[in-house]
Amino acid sequence: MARLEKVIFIFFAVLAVLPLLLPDWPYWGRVLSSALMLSSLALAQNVLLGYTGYPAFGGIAFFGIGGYTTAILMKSYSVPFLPSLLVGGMVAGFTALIIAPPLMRLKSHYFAITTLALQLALGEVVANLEFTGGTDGINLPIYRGPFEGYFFHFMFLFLALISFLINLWVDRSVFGYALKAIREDEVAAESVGVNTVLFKSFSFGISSFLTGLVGGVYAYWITYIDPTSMFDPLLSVKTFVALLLGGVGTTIGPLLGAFLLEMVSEIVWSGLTEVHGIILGLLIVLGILLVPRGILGVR
Amino acid sequence: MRALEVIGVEKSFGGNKVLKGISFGVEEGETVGIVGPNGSGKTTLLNVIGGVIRQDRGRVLAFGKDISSRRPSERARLGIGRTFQITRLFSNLTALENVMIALHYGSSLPATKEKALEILEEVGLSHKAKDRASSLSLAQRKRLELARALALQPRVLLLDEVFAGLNPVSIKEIVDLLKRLREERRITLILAEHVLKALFQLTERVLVLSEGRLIFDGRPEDMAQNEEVIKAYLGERYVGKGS
Repeated sequence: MARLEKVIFIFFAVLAVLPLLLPDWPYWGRVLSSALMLSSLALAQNVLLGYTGYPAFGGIAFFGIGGYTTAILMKSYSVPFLPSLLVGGMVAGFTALIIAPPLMRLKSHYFAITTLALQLALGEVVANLEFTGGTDGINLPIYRGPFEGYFFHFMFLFLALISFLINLWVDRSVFGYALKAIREDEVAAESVGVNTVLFKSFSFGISSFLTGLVGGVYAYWITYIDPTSMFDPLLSVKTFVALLLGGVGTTIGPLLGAFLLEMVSEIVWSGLTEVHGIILGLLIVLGILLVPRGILGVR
Repeated sequence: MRALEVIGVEKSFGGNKVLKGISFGVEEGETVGIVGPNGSGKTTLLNVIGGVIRQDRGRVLAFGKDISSRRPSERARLGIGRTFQITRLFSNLTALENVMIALHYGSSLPATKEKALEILEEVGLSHKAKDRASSLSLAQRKRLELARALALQPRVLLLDEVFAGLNPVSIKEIVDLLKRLREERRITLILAEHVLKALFQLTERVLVLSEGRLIFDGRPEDMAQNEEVIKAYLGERYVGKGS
């Protein structure tokens, strides 16, 4: 394993004990949870964009599906959180798996735009349905139990770790090689025996499963969800900025990009609230100009 | 047994009829050249056999099995390997990885680095194993594509203009390589080709396509005397004037 990847595991270990060390935990807990959440989303998207070459610009649709499924199960059927979350992730993953064969006949920006349309349309549908609470959204119970105050930090840490491990696996496995072959040239991949429809669909499914899990934890974390927050195009943009900043198609890039973006955003937000957007915009422009392939990008 | 049988294949792109009822058979171990002017349908025919393009009408049989509606990946696993007119490598991966992917997915061989290196050695590319495919020269790219197809342990190999753009030395090397493969593994070779000199060193049988029709099927030496062929290549007024 590359040395940098070992460092990431140490980083995860440090994050696990950080709640005991940091003085102003509620504040730092929020910042770190946001960073870990964005890391997980970027890592999930990396499986699809980085290794398979398909940019799901509306991948946040599955964040919404996961979040809403979790919330509805908890609220309307009184299912405990963890089983609800798992079902949420699975509903997101299976939805992607089912729509992948027709959807993934489209490539590059056509695919990106179509997924974005899916995300926006789903938001509208959810806003007009009864059992989703419509535009009023859903209120979730506040978490009470072990590790209170740290619970969501550990949940997001766990999701980021799982996402990172999946990226490591894809990076080196036979499965991952099929995805890379698809990314490089689909016709050639077929010509050497890779069933591209099958592998593309699995890639989309895995990516969306992870995204759905993140949505589920997020819903419980902020305790109130509505269509605007769960199908937010800005979250899509942020995920892509983090991924592109760190380096698409690398195992560490998405993590690095997400933490960098979230930390800078936090510093700018607390110090320079009024020009926050301008500075972040500048950062993105500079990133594109100076490191077009991302900080760790090699391609 | 017949390695390949193409029966009444037709294909149109929009209103443009590219293949107009093509039929022929290829015996196992045979080498067949497909020639014809640009736009006569050679590449489309190979794409129909490889499965990249689905025919409108007709059937394709491989070793007696109807493969007309199989995915290209299934055909690859049945032993139909191919190269492309414009090479289609996995550019950002190494030469070794290119071959290993084919070993993983298209072959019954267990995929190992050693096996992949052996195949690269066979086409004379083992010294480039760690290089990215995109950094290779045209001749090397063509060899790598050949190596990747060989990793499938193909029984039929479709080669689309494998000699195009190569210098005489590279052409001779690939001719020798193909001869060796044919002797050692009894691979059936089907070459769509413009470089006739190289082609005629390999094959005893040539198919000539013209505007989507099969106008000649026979020995290379008879080809130049055939009126239809002369008409297709040179035009009506050269017919009957001798060669």
